[in-house]
Amino acid sequence: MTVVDVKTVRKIADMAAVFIEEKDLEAYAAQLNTIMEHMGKIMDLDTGDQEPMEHILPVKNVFRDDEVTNKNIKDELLKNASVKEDGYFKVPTVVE
Amino acid sequence: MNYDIVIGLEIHSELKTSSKIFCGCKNEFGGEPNTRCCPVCLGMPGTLPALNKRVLEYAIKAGLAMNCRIAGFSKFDRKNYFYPDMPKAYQVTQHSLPICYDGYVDIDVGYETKRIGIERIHIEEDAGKLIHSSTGQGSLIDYNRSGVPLIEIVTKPDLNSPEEAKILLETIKTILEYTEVSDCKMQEGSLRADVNLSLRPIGSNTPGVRTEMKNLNSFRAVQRAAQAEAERQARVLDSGQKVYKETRRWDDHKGESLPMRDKEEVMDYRCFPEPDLPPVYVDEDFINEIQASIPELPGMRRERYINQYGIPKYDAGLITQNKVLADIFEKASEVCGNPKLVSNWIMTEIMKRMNEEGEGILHSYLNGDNFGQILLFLDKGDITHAAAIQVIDVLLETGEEPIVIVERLNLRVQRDESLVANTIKQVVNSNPQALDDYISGKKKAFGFFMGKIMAELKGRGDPSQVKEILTKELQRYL
Amino acid sequence: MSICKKTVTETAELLRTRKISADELVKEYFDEIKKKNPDINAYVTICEDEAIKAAEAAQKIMDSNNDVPYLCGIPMTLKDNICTKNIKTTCASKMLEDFLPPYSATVYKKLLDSGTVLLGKLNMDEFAMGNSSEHSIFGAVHNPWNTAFVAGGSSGGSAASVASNLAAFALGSDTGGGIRQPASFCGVVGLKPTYGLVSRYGLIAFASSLEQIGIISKDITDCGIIMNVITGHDPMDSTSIKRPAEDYSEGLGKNIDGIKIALPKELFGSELEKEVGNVINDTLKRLESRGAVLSDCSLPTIENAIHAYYIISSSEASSNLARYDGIRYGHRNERAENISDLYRKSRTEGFGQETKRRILLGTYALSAEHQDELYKKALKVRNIITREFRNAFDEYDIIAAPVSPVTAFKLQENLNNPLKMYLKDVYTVAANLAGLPAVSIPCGKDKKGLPIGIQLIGKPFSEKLLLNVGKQIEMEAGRLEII
Repeated sequence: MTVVDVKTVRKIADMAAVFIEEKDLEAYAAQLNTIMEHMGKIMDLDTGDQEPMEHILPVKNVFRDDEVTNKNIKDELLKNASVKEDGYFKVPTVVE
Repeated sequence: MNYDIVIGLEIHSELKTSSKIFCGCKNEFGGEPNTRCCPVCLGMPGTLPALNKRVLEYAIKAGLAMNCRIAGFSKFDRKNYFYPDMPKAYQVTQHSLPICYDGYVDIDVGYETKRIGIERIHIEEDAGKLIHSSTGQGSLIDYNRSGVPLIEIVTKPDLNSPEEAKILLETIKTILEYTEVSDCKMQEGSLRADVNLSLRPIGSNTPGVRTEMKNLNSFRAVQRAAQAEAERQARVLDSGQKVYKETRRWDDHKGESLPMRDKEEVMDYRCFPEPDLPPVYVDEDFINEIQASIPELPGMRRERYINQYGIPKYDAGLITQNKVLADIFEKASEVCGNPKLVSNWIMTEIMKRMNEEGEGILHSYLNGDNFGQILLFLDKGDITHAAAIQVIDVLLETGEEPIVIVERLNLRVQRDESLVANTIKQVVNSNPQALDDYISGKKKAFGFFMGKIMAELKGRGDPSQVKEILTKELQRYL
Repeated sequence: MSICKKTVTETAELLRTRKISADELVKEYFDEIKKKNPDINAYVTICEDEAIKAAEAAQKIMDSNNDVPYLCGIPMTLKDNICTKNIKTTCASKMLEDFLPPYSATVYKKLLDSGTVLLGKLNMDEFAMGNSSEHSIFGAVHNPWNTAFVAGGSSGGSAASVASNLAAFALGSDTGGGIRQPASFCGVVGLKPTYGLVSRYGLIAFASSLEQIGIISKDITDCGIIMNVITGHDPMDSTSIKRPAEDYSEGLGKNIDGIKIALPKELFGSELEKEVGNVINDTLKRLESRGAVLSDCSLPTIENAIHAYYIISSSEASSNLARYDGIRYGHRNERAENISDLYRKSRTEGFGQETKRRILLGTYALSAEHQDELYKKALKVRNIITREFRNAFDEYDIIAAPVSPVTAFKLQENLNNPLKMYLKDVYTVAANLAGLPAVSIPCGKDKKGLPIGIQLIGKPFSEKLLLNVGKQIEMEAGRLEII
């Protein structure tokens, strides 16, 4: 049974904001399908009324006090951005 | 056809904590771009969130003030989508288990009280801001707002008119201000609402398809957008077409809304538990502690004003709608001892100024104490009505104490009987025509003399005293 | 014997007794690195100038101060997904090729505070996704025992650098075996601590709920000494645990009489190579002769651990790696005409094939359509596996298993078959799902002369016991050294 086909790859690639070239789509689909077929075996396991485990630690209520501890380090933060303008990060025009 | 309007609101309110939700950056509006940021709120690789405890407290406080149940167990999730103002490409929010749920808020619609259900209140983080480049090319991002704590209040679809939607938003704003969890500055975007609206043919039970209008940041916009959308949906339905479930953007200038995204595209946010934040357990003690810190809320305060101060329900409602104003009322009443006078002056002189200049006046030199002192002068007859207004004007400019203004400008009422009597005599003598008129029965002349005398006394005469002596003086000629 | 072959303990003694100065020591290491690294490709960044300065500073402290930290002047190195302020941190990805973090990982700060000297940053699988250290823009890491073979992964550079004496010790990260498996392939000690014991702040996230920073060292004692430095609560990591400090280096090698060791049959399955199995069994027998009590046991659901692991890790990865959009840092496509083009092109060019594959897998598993049957199902399985471990630990002290069903495989051998590659993680992923500490200890070699490691898994925070039993194995098998 095919679970991941070319159409699925196109859709999830779009969701993940990556681009898969037309010529590679088949190969990706085939590989992902093989992997998902195998990993999908998990679906056959009877987990009864088991709760999903969301946190492995018995840790809860971890808080920080409401204190301002950071200084302005704008220049350091902008250092890794390749395109910037007047202290802002810059992107192509965003139309909403 | 005629339709029932069904509206629910999603209200986003920034919490006024000192620092951001997950890092020690300052939570403050504005500032030079990207100066209130750090690796954490910029989502840099390897950084992790640490929850600000006050965010949790404020969210619970808001929830209690809206009669919500508080979840003993709640947690955070990631909501994944790409947008350049969101540095991690996911928003940390409470998707599956919100901190508050199942509450209500009572609103006054005309003379009726209506109960609006609150579905949930959850905690989440705000995103940065996009602006257009001054070069005309490209968009610029300022992440100062990224990581500012928010609560999202989701109401049940219990609202049935655009006006009710507006009133609910006003009511919730007041509650948030009273509980001091948000400063609700709508012009700064710290309180904004999404309107979910659908129509249902009158008598029908089947809910209609709803649309969502995003980011409305004034009461007027909420009411107008809801009105326009209700009319648009009615036109669509009347013409036999279908309303699509979609997100629309309201243009307040044009007074119309347009669809934001492609109708076909349904967002899949792939929400899942945030692995970097442990769950939150809240116990009774913690809730009780917060409950005890909640001040008297507007509804209760209004009732108290009616009973304790005997002011009209309408006045009490308007005054308590604004916490700062209500605080001023209460302090001023205490200082001057005449709540009805204070309430009258708020309803006229203060409201007038608020309408003309906005709420700034409530955060100016004027406060309950000095306002009360001014009205006390007035109430004792030490200054006139006109002088009281003059004192307020000067106070707003200079911030001087009322007594200082009164003395400096020599505004105290002139009660020296011989001086007043002499002035009256002089005015009567130097206006023979008016005196003749008065003698011949033209009562209007009395008013003329009053005006002249008050002017001569530079507005400082005590009208009742002047009236009394003037009547006696004129009596002599009859 | 070259000074670089010495353990941390031995090197610290030489420094303390002034047999060598910290700056001389560091220079020795750089000579060694220059000689061997071209063949091994463990280092992707070498910080020679900074290291020499740091070593001189360390020497000054040792010369002038009586209260000198034990690790002062010890040359060490870090996997390149651990952030080092103003030193490139690339995750072996084109995406972060030029990334200079304006902050340091908590573990790095702790190591600096204890006087260690950073020699450089280490090669790995891109974003720690892989078990061969071949998925790297800097090229594959080669196994120091035989350069035609892989070093394992994803912390291949960490294991290879320590095995070939290019650092006294290294830190790596373990998401599904990323420390233990390369340690096993390279014949060194690798420890993945209990989830929450070591701060993750500054570790570039792949799968947040599974990964921990851990240690690769030449021997067990070194591992304990370094644990003393890197563990501890960190307010910057909300999943880090508050608990009293322990001395992990104290009492190693003490009597293991009556220690109950369980051997789950599911971790000795048909995929286990005979030669590896024999060496493991032989090692276990020797532990028995030292007083340990061996028993067979069963952890039935552990057979699904690999499925749950790949679903959960890829899901989290798809979210953790969404932030790489080219805007604030990282590779950016300069020709993008609109915002969605910018995302797509930057991410497509910046991520390697394996990384993209995992992102797609995770996006699929989290999508509304499949989330319940895949992601949530995997969380349920995770719960069951954790419970099965807990039950086993009611009865036994330690679970022993192979680290990998195979020894190091040839470079390129599995590159075109991702599933086959994934399945080699069968023995290591369960400890990550359950958040348990696990250590890999060299215990022999196969006929090709490639190292074999045995894995010990313990209950939460039982690192000391694991190291003590590990010490017994080390005493039996001896350190594996490349001649």
